[in-house]
Amino acid sequence: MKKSLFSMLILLFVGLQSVLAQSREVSGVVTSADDGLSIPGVSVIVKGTTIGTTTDFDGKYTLNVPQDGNVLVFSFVGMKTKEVAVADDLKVVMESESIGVDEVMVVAYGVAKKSSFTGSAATVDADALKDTPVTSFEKALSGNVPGLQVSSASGQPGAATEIRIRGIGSFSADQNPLYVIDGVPVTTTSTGVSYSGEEGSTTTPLSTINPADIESVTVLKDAAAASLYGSRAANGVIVITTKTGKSGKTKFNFSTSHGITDLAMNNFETVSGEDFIKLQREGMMNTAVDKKGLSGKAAEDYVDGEMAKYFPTPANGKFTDWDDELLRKGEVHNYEMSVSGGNEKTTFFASVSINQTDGVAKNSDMKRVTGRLNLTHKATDKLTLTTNLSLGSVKQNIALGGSYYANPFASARLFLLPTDMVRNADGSLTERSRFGFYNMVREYSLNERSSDTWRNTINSSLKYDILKGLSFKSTFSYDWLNTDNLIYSSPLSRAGRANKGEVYRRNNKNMVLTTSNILTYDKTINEQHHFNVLLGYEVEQNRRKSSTAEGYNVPQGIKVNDGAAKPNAVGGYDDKSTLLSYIGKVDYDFMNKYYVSASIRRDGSSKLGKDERWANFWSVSGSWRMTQEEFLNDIAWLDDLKVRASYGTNGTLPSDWYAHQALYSVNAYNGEPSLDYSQISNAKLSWEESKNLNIGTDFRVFDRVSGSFEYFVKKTESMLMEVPLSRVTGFNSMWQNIGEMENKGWEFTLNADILKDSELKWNASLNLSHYKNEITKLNNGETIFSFPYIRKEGEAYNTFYLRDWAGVDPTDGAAQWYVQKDGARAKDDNGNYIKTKNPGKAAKAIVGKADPDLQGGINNNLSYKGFNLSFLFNFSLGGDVYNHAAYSQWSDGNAHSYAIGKDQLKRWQKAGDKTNMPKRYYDSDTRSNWNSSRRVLNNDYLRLKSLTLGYNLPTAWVEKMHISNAKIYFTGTNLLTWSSQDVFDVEQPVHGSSTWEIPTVKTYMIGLNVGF
Amino acid sequence: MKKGLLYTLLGLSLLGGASCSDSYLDENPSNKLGVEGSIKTVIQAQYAIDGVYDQLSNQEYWGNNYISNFDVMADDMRASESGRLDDYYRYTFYTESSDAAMWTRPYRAMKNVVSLLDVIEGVEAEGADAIAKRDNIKGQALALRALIHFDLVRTFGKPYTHGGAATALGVPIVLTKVNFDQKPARNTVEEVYTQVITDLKAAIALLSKDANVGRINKAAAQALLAKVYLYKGDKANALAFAKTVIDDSGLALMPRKDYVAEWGKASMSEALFELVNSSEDNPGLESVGYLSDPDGYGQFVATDPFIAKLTAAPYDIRSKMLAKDELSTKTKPRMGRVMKYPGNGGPSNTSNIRIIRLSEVYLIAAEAALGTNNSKAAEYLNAVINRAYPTEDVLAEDGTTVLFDYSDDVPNVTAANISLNRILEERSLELVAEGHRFHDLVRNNITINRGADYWGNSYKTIQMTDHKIIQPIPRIELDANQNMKQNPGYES
Repeated sequence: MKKSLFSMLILLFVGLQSVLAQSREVSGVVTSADDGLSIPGVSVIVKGTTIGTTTDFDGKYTLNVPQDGNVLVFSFVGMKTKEVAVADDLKVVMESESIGVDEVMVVAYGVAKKSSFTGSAATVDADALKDTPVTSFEKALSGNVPGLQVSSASGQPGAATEIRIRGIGSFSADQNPLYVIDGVPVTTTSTGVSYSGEEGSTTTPLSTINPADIESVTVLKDAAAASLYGSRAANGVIVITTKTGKSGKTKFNFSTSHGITDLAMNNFETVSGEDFIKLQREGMMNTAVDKKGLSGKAAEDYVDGEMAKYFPTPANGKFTDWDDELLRKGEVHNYEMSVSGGNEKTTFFASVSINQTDGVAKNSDMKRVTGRLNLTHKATDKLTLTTNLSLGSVKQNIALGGSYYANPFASARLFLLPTDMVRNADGSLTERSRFGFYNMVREYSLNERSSDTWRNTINSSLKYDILKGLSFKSTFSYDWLNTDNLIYSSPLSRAGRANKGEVYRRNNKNMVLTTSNILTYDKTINEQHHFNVLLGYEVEQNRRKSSTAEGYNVPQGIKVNDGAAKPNAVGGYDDKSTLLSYIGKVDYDFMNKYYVSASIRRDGSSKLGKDERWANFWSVSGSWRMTQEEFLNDIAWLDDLKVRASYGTNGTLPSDWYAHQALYSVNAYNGEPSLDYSQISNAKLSWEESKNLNIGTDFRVFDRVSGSFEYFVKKTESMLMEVPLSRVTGFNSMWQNIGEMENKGWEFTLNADILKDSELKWNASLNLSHYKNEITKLNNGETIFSFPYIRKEGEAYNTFYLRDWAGVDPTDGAAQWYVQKDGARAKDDNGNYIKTKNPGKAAKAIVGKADPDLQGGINNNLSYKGFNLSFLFNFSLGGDVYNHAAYSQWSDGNAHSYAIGKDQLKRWQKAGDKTNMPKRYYDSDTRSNWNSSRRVLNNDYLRLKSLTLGYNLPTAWVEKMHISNAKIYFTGTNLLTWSSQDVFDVEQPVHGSSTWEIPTVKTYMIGLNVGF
Repeated sequence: MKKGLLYTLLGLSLLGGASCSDSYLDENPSNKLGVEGSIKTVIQAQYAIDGVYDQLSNQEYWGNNYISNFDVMADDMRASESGRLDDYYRYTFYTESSDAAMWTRPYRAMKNVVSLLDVIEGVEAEGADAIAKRDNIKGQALALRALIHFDLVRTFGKPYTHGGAATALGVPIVLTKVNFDQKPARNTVEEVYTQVITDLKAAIALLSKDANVGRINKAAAQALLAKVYLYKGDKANALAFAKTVIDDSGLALMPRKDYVAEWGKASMSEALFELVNSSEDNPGLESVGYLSDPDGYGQFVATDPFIAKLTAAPYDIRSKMLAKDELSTKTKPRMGRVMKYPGNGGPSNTSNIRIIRLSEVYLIAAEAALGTNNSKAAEYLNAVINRAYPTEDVLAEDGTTVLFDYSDDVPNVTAANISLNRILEERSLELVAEGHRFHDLVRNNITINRGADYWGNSYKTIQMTDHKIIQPIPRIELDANQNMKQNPGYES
């Protein structure tokens, strides 16, 4: 009763005041929809006036609103501007600007509004990357960006990921996109080493970056978007922006996640010990009877003799499962802590992280420690200084890839047999298999392959606003990457015994120094004509240094060269390459309706000879934002419609730094230097140039459905290729500019807020892409054979050229091939295809292509109260993969000393059997396992790439704990896969030849995210 | 103050832009030399000729393939089991086989020869001494050009002694740098042999007599020429040059007491030409030494019949060259490792490769003299036989029982009983595991018969009409060079 009286009094008072006063006081608090935290510094203005204030440190404001003011406008950088009707206690929740048409994205040398951008680009923001458990951020791009092929071909923690944007843009020159971090191109050259010391892909520099530090990733696809990067942009550009602080309350964020990993699919599965014995015996009997002419007891004796000699059944009857011995379930542990904040003058973002990943190969793991400080300081109104510092340390124990016995995966599926024993009868480890391959259990226990990588980047810039609209920005960056590689073979190991122990150490350094100076001028005339002009230059110096030392005669347990009694080899280099560039760009728009843009870049590179080293790259583009036209204003459901087109050129340099020169390398003979004429010169070697056309449209309708469609033609000319030469020249190949290639295709994305105003929110998106690759011209029309491919005019670059497999003859189980005539299958008089059982008569033919016809992703995000669920499927249709392992796994007994693939269980056994696997002949030379289209498998698949289920603890709970937000989640990657083949993992290299890399893993993780 | 800072920065950056001239873009590799102008002095020419030896010693050439691949195709040596030498042991090589090393590596050595020969006349040499040094290098280059052509033609061409050399396909002759766009065709076997002989004769005229470990001198070139004539079936010339070497080289057969140890030395006393493989030269693991070593890959072992032959002759010093091989078990040793590549005091892959040594020259002389001067032939052959045996009686521990009677038990030959088979038998004993046996049988048109321990399914016996006695031109060459013709019989 008393209360209600009091309330009434208040109401009366307020009412009186509103009548009496000229203005009224409004107060409230502004919070962020993202994290529920208050936002300081938000501008609050009474619409149509200059009356306003900003929120204080706690996000609170108080404002005297004139009588006629009805609406308040809240605005803040990076947030959607919000207009709210005046009320007394006005709590305003602001949403960040990441969704919707006016999104700002980071592009080449600056930022652009998505709505005005004339090129083709796609952005993946931090949310999509956040909870995905990956050791390197680029793996999280898979399925999120149309036109992007991501293949994590290796399960080695920290290994490189292969990314292709809009198909393969080049022959043998670099096919990787350019990575730009905070405005500076970075190196992706691996500083790891592979088996014998050459550079390998076991370590990618990108794994030194903490994925949690990334704010957004933009993929630049067409010339308009990428041409400003000139000679390195032909394969597209991936622009990464790291997080920055916001002024206001200091925010702390802690997150941790833990999980286990396992092979995502059964790869190159082999038969059990019992089946192995059965298949070997069967093959031996066939050989004895058909090839050696034995029968009865003699045949049995032969079989028993061979079995006893090479494949004795273990005494205890237990066959070895080498998977159990060499592989395991992996583990992932992540800890991250970040702090951000600042005031009007200075903002910062700082983070530290630790990641420990144990790979599925017992001898592979990675430990990463990173630290970052991003600092921005406004010295004066005009001068802004920015410095981003990052440190990353990655330690790896490396399981080798490749079809090499030291690769645990290849060892388990290829070299070591179920009949080979891990241990001797006395319990000691065996040294070698019956066929001389090392017992890798023993080798790994004695030896070590590891790498220790440090990366340090400094990226500083100074921006000065000279006049209104005119600013100057100078950037200096230094990227220092250092890897110590170690290969140690104990004197007790088989690998090290001959040299009484070996220590191989190699230090690789890669240093990139980049400076750029850019002037930009932004001017609007009569509120209609808007210009943005950019002029500048950039200098890049890339330096790689290496030193190698190898020693023999090493006491057990000592892993440094100092402990090697016999120094053996030293080596090294210290090379430089330089790039000089001049850049210019003009953007113009008329009333936010018509946009045109033109850019030019002139690049000079040290990688080419004097006459060829300079080249110009340019682009022109335009767009029309049709919804700005009055005639479309009436269509209420059409929120946005834009059409755009671009055309321009990019270049590609040879990946070799000195490919144009004729060179002697220095070797040693008899203790003296000796010269080897190691490279033939091509003074005419020049840039590869790609010409890109892009036509696209973006739309948004009913305020809930948006999408885009793009068509592109990418034509590459003067293609760089390592052309095979007649060996009589003394050289295997040389770099030449030959031929032309074309990639044509389209990309489509659709994004819908299916439920957005209810408590259950559901956003779904679909992206599809298709491209067709074709070699349109080759030097003199010559065809180039590069097993298992053919490079031929009119065909796709990755076209398989192999014997044309005609299956197994059901009557006798023999392999058959189609006979070719004049480039097609030959027919007999009755019009039937002619088959042959003689592999020598089986000519090769085009039997498949690696490029898929259609690729895409389907993403769903659902949220209900504190829960959210997101899952991403990706799929691919129409691509083929060549099964390299078939030589041994499907050897039909020919390569008898290898493990047997499970498909061999389906071999021909008796007349009438219809199968693809011929009759087995042990240790024979039927050549049925010669490369043929039997090995080409269609690789259609649908994969649940990631799934995350999260729960935000209710505010009431977290407030009690004195924290601002807390989230727990489960996330998994590669959890489910449906595919048209069950031989190998669906993620294979883009070129479509299967590898022995440790395959893709699936991950189950739980995590916790706390902000305070 | 602040403006001052700004102008300074602007000025500096503009200056930076202007100073970045074209020369900023001149970069050269730190560990390689430009080919133009790098060979101007005698010492530089020496580096260049050593680059040829280095290629020769590569495991794809004399470092292994030209030894073990051929040896396992004949009857004295074999592959221990499936593995590295499998394809040659079982003759399962085809056009499509991916191994193009035996074709590629000699031509890689060849490009080093001809890139030197192209500029050798321009090498500065003042005074007789310097000119002699330059001539010596040129002589080596010519001799190496001959050796490489000879190796290629006896691998990929029809054996000269099988007839039809004037039309049979040999290999492309390379005399000067082959430009990248050239697609050389094959010369005839006759043309290649003519070129080889011409080059060796020119080399002999230029080469120094002085010993030069790891390199070719005059006697080495003469010995090689004798070998070439023998392969050509020109016995008179073969005998003449072999005799010159025996009489004039100043070398003697290594004595019996040092025989085993000599193989592990940094230079062998009777070697006319050996390739040095020190650990500094980065020998790979696929070397013939590592392939012989049971602690290495251990796949290159003697056959049962060969082991039996030497086991039956315990006083033949060459029986001491056999050691336990990869197939040995703890209880049952198998003496199939031929200790010709024990390592020069280091790991087995650092063994020198003896391309030609005096024993072979004696055997060439014996074979060349056979039929025209059998007593001379017997004399040459006995030199090798006698060296292998003790020169005094060997007594048992009791001091009286004669185990070996040096006057009776040495299996000497006489002018009356010397035969080609006996000479080939001695070549087998003396030159085993050095890459000879297959060629010795082929050039003499003798069917290859492998013993009971042969474990392949086919090719136990190899007729001299079989197309596989000649290696196929690899697919990779046929694909890149339309002028290249395949050898007959290789449809795949």
